Amino acid sequence: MSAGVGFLERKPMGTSVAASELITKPRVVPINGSPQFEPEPIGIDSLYPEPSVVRPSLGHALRALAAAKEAARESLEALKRGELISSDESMQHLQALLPELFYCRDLGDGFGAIINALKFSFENAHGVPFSEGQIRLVGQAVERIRQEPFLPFDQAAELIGRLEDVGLKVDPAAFAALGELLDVEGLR
Amino acid sequence: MQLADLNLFHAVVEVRYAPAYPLWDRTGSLWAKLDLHFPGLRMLGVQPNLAAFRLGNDFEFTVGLESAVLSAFKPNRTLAQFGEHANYFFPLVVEMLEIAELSRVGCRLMYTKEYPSAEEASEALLESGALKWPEGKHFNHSGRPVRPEWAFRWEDGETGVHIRLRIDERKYDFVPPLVWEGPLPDKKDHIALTYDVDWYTGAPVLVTQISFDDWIKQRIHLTNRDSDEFLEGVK
Repeated sequence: MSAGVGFLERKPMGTSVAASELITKPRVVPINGSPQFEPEPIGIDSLYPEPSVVRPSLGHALRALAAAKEAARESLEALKRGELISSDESMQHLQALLPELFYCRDLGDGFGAIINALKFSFENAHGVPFSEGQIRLVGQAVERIRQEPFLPFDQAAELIGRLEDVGLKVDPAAFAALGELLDVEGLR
Repeated sequence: MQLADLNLFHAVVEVRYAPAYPLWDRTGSLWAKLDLHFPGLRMLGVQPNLAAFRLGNDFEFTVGLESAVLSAFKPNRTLAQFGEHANYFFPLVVEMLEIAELSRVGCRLMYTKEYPSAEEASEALLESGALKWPEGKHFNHSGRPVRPEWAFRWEDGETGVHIRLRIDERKYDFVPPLVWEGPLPDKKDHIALTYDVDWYTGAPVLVTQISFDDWIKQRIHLTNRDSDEFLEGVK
């Protein structure tokens, strides 16, 4: 598909062409209709510049998620420097923020689902440090719910699926045991 | 003059979006749901691209092809009830019209103080210290300016605010129907000094980002916090 300016459309052989159609018409594509020029959504801090003046759960969530995002960033940077302990400490700091975020799940089903998925990802890792790809995706998930705290469940489920794709176990360990039990009983 | 000296006369929240064609299929369902939630909703007018309803004498709801508006007249200064209504109305509109992104969200707050005449309202504004002007004859006129006004606007690409102080004159007249009997209500002139604060976003807002009552609380808080510095005049 061509979108060039001054492009002369060719008609298939055998189609009659009116003389007026042969005149080259400039084809202008407005940039505001192009995905390349779509403006970025507003930053969450511009939308709520005073976190103390929103409902408590939103204010807590915005503050804790900012700290969690920073922890993921620091963890990645430490990993690049080869400082494995420092990287893991940053992720432990992120993990410590999750219980507080768990109490903010009245913000929506999507928010609650992602926080749960992150919480179980840490618990199911049993202290084994996350890989670079896992840390990056955890950071992206944190950033996404900070930017969009009212994410609906279906969009959150896509994000959780991506966490699973990098090897994180996002469901409670009891779910796996239940699954095994159902297999043994032949109920699944 | 301080913000506390003025009454909150009118509050409006408007959201704009790309043409929402599902409006043509779902207007009835949308308003039926609103009617269930807001008993006593009265229809003001319905056209293919616009429907407007009123709740009591306080609130007006309008949904159009490219915008939806909630207005409140003489609301409580905290806008608590207005925020609750907004938190039901706008999410329902975006859900039923399948809107994912708002191109603009605006909140306009108009505070007024009534005066018997435009001259007295002008004098109050000039005395406030918010305006300064040179003494003597200028532009071939001398003496006090009439119907003074000032405006400031700040924008940073993501959000903006436009504040204005001016004298408003409204005339209310009653045209009786042909069969009207009895005395006619008096005409009313409403002359007020108006402090008009218009908050708006300059970047798209995802519907997954916004909670309307929280957003309105923020605008009220910032308006209350910063207005007096301008209304009292820069020291």
